[in-house]
Amino acid sequence: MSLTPRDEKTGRYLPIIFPEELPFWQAAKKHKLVLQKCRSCERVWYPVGPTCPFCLSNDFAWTEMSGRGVVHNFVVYHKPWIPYYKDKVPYVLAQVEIEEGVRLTTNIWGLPPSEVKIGLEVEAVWEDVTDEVSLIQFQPRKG
Amino acid sequence: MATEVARALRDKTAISGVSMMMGDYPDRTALSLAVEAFQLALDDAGMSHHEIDGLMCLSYGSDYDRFLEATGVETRYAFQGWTHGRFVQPTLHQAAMVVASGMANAVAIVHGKKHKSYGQPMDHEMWRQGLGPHGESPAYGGFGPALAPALAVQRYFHMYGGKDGDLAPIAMTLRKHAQLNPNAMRRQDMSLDDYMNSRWIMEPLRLFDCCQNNDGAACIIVTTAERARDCKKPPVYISGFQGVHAGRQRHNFTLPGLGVAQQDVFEFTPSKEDMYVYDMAGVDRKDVDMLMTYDAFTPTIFFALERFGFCKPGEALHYVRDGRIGLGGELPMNTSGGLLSEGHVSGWNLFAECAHQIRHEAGARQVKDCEIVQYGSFLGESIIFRR
Ligand SMILES: [Zn+2]
Repeated sequence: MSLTPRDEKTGRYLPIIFPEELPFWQAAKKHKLVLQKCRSCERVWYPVGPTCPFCLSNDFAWTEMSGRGVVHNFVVYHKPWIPYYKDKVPYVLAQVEIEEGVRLTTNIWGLPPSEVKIGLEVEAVWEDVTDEVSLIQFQPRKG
Repeated sequence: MATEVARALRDKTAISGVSMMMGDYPDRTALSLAVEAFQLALDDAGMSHHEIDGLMCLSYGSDYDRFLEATGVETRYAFQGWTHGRFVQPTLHQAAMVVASGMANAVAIVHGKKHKSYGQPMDHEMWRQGLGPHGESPAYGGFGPALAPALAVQRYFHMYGGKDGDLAPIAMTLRKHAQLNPNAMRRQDMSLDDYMNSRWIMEPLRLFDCCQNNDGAACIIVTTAERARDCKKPPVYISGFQGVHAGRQRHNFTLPGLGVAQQDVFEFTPSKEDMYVYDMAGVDRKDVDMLMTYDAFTPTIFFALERFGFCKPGEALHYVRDGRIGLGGELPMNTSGGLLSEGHVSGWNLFAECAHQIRHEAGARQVKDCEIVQYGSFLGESIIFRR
């Protein structure tokens, strides 16, 4: 489909940057993880969305997160869905639970897939993909 | 619990005709497949197309108006939508409610699908805001419907001590069922070695944990119980139903409590409220002769067994062994071979099999004295059929 963004050089798919999600992506460019935090109930949510899913308040603040978490769940891709991943498989797709309680979908860097385990303590690391897009990734926590 | 109105609908409608086609039809269009499936179902029911006054069809097959124009059918109830996958059951129970309320006397649910044509869900669903319906995230290499069941069963294994190979009895049992089904697409033998040697698609899922896609078509005709009694085949009464349970706690292809995406983590045991389908149908879980579930991936068999309390939390892992879900077992499941081995008509072939079992026309794979069949899946959607 023509509307799906991909990196012309590599063929890798890129995220669609929806206007309301711009603060998330702008912070990511600066290697900061920000999510919406509700000013009424003080909870954080993910994925990014138009309102607080806990109390439906629209009064929220983009707030920097710790960037620390644990691998809550993961799978290992062995089949490359698009050619870009042909020399990347096997790779891990994980749901990392950050200290603020939400689970981010991400990759796990820095160790072979066979060593990734549920409960592994991880920290954020940033991948600069294009001029517009930096992706948060996670690697085993150091120290 | 089921309401008085719901109980009043018990056995008031029935499936009177079914058809199913699958394979590769390179020279056919979705419309052409849908029309043939419609003709086959009319013939199965012994009904004329002039009796059909309701149509429900798929939003990415042939459109409702083209189908109606092509078949000369005039309706007073037409609906087009996402009648695929987890929405096959809602479509069928909607048809039953349409007939029960008199909005139509006979609804044809028509489904014709070319799996490699433009406009398939795979073309767009992973790109929606947030994550895809199976947790997809294209920028992270998170692709494919298999992602959701892979994530779910990874957590299930983590919570209950499962491991590679624990899904094998499911794949092998359903393959055995397919071998008794002349229409099944995948009938070659599958040994434990074959399973264990099948390649990883997305660990913890192997190739044989995943169904494959094909072209296909199906038609199910729902009419009043009264009219169905005069049709060619015995009526397949629709006794009870409950809908898709959805929300943050009920992620696609998982059970509540597994902790997929933003789900809470807990051991799920269904309450009576989670299973009001039995109350509406007036049957007990132990009366169910065959359980059919949406089995695009093997883990959904675990989840169906636990969603409706056939197994306690974590017990399905062991229950599926030793032939319990096979023909002649305690609770035969997906007797046609299911999506995994019979083939994939977006789930509609599962209902065709429910009808064949209730009518006692399933041949070598017939469940003996089959009176009550339950369709029930991980999202809690269910229909109980009665002979
Ligand atoms: Zn709030």
